Amino acid sequence: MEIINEPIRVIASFSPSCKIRPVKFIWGKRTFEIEEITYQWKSREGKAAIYHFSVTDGGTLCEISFNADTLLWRLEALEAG
Amino acid sequence: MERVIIVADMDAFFASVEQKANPCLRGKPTAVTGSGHRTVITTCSYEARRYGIKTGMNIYEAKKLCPHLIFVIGDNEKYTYTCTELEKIYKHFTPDVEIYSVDEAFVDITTTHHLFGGPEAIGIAIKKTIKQRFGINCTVGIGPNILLAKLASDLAKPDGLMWIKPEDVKGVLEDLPVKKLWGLGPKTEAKLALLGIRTCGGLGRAPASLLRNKFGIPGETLKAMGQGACNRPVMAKEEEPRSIGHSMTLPRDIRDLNEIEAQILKLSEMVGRRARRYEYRGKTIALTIRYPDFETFSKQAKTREYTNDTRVIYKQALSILQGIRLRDRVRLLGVCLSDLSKDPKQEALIEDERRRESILRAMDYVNDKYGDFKLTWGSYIMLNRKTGVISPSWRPSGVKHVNLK
Repeated sequence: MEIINEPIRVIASFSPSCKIRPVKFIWGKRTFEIEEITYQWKSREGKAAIYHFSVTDGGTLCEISFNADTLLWRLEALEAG
Repeated sequence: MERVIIVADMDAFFASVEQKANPCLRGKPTAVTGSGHRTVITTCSYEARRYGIKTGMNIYEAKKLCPHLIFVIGDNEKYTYTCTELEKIYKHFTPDVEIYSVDEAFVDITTTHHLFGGPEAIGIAIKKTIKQRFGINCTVGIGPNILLAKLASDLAKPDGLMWIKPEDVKGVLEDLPVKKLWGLGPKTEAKLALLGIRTCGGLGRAPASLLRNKFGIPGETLKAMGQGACNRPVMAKEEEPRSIGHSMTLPRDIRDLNEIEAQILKLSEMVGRRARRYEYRGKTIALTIRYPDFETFSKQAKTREYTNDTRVIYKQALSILQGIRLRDRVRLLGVCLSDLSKDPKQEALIEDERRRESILRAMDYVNDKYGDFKLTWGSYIMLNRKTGVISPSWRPSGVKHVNLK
């Protein structure tokens, strides 16, 4: 996967059971409609919880993350299918 | 009460997680490796195993066997998070859970299985929940002790469920090769073969005196294993650690002393920080060195007082290094603190020592808040930080828990 590590704009749903589900994100001029969240996991950077998602729009596999402390989303890495 | 133990063993764990995360890998021979250029395979998918790919094989050997093998650099955070969540799934059925390794757990359901419809129902529920939640498979073995539950899980792999009930033990073991028993390695197998013992049935019937003569006291344990007996408990509570250590295979063999010292500083900080987090202090510091030809040795030295101060650990490790005449480049370095005491130390009386302690406290505070190595020693900054592989002793919680990138 190609490391990107850039901020992105994301539309996501936050359910009452604390489940986060990214639906769509914009990276530069590209919009990715998320077709499948293939895996998700959580890590910690100090006190901050980081939620990671492997997602695909059907062609490209992306790893995006949400920092629950800063409330920022990032595109971590990307792999064209 | 008759014991009932479940062994839950994830199938090709790291490779399954990567195949779930990346749809392009599904159904293809996939091997997970560390990030260094001379890393080895830590796990491979069942598709890769058909080509003879095995854990521990280097990349060149693996490519020869399967030229289209796909290599994926492992992502430890994915695996440790998944393991931590798996523990919660097992603990839904009983508090008596031992995480034996990152991909294997022992679950004692002796006193709780009747609440969930019996052992088999629990085994099915564990498999189903893991599949639903993570999309990966696990094999469940059920038995009257860990030895037999482990055997059941090995026999049922992959994606299986097997229950060896007490009345089935004799039949299962009679013609089973001894090497199938958990903990019985190739050397013991070869020694048993010299005695004409090749099956578990034969091992169970062998005279105890014969086994004792050949193996000493463990001979009796071997006989019991042949009969399917094992009294090892499920260790739900983490034992007090005897040591706190870190070692790492370096990205390349190094000879430069400055570089070696910087690596020792990094390891000392990892050891000191973990010791401080869990309030341990130690008196013995050991330095381990491995040369490129895999000759490995450790030397240790004692400090005057119990310590968890990075600088004391580092200085002691350096003094050990200075007493060694390195005959070659270094492949692996390790630092270990042992002779541990949990007792909190008294407030330092000497001003200088108090200042040193408060610096360490401040560093730990910053790193707890912003992440490991955010505030660190200048000499360490020159080093590259690369992904290592998960140590077999990693656990989801307690002193053996290490944050892995």
